[in-house]
Amino acid sequence: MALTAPSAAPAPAPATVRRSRPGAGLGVIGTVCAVVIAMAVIAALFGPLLAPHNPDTVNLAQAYVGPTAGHPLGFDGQGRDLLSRLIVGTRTAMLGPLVVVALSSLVGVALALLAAWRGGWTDTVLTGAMDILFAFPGILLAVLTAAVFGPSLTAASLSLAIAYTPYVMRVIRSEAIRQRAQPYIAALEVQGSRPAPSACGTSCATSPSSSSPRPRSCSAGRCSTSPRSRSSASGCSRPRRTGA
Amino acid sequence: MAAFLAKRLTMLVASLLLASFAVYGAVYIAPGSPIATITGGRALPPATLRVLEHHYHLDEPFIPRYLNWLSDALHGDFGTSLVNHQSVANLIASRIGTTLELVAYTGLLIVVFGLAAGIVSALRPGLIDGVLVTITSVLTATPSFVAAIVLISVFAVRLQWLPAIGDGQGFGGTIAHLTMPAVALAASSVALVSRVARASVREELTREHVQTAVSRGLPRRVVLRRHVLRNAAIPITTITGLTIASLFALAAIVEEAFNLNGIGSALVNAAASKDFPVVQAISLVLVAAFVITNALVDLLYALLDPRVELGASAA
Repeated sequence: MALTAPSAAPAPAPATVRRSRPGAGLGVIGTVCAVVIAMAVIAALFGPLLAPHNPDTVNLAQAYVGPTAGHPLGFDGQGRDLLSRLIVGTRTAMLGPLVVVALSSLVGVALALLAAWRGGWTDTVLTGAMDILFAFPGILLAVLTAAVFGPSLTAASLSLAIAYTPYVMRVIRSEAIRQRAQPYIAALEVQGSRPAPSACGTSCATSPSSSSPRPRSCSAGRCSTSPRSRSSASGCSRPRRTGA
Repeated sequence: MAAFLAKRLTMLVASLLLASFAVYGAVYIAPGSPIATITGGRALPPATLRVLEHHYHLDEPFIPRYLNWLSDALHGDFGTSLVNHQSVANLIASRIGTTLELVAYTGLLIVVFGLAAGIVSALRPGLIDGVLVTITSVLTATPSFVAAIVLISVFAVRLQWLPAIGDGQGFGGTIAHLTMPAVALAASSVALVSRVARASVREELTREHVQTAVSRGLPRRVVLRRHVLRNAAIPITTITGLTIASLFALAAIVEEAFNLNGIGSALVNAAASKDFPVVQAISLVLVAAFVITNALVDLLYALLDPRVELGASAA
């Protein structure tokens, strides 16, 4: 909303990553960030292979010993090598949030588009359900799930994914309703495009996601002429609802 | 105004009712019987088990049990803890003070430092803005449990300025004991609020009505207060309200880290020991606190901006 309004930025426009040259325009800070993320991803993928020592080898004689040669981060309370534990633990640390973000985005976007496109009762029920879910803070839901199903990464990830779905849905729904009223959607409908492709192919691409706001104008132009939209325009021509 | 209040109150009660149903239902579908928690896994004669089941209303169907629990809860009776057989209402009453103080202290820090940093950095582009943006970038990326560990290690272990655990006695003691938890809890929220404040003040500064006010020769102070800050207040209120509302639940993390006897740490302990009456009651209290704070923020909108139609749902 206010954060993405173009007039709000007297400073240079945020760097957009173009597909032709990945990494272009990242700048020094962006490159450093990308390297850190890349290192975390590599540690997550190949952690057990990269760890210099066995992360679970207990040696109580070395409990809380500080950094030594070969053990740059020292040892934990049970004398286990901290660097190895850090590297091997990266996978767990990255997998949980990945599941949360992927699942809540997927479900949130799907529900938001359904609510925005169907309108009426579907919208009322879905929005109401999300408002109720909004009253449950993510951490509370996670603790509740842990109490009910026992503590586990799966339970925590699933409950956090459920807790974050309303946030995604709220943002996407209001944007989808805005886009729904745009002339290019009406144009696609007149051409006989089915609701699902136009909702998924066009509005998703033009809606700013909650995590990465980007200029709307360029992506709208690109997607309304995408092959997917054109091919679906020549599809069946069932009568459909018009207007928002 | 009355119609708006009535509608908002109805929504509030409806969401609390549904939340209570969800909280109670979640425990109902839990695998394993609460009896196992009570008995601690010991084998008891069937007659004893039946007495226990009857005592905790476990032999009744779900809906009567839920209604029973709800009506007791509305009368201030949340049952007794399965673990230490203490009254849950007493447990909450003895612990909620600490959580409320922590949330109030943290909320104050968020409002004061978040707004100050945001407004200063919007009005002073250049070096000050750059420094503040760098600081807030670091703070945004600092989860409260990391901040808690760093604060304890610096201020409690190295410098020994502040106590690391416990609640403290009296006003001074409470402030001393709650300062580090509140700072740990506030860190990322201060950064968030200051970013939003900075962006919305910057946006207002470029608006036509502000340009008009400046070109008419109004003093800068008046322009800032009446035209910039007043209009920028809406998005700032939204994010501040949401942040403070969510503090009630997030408090659990720092309460655990600093060994505070709040309801958040009680919830975590109860969840670990499957003490379902305590989990249900505290969940309900936390949801209620969240929903009521959000409702208050909605009211604040109407006071801040007369253009906000009372009764129109804030999307």
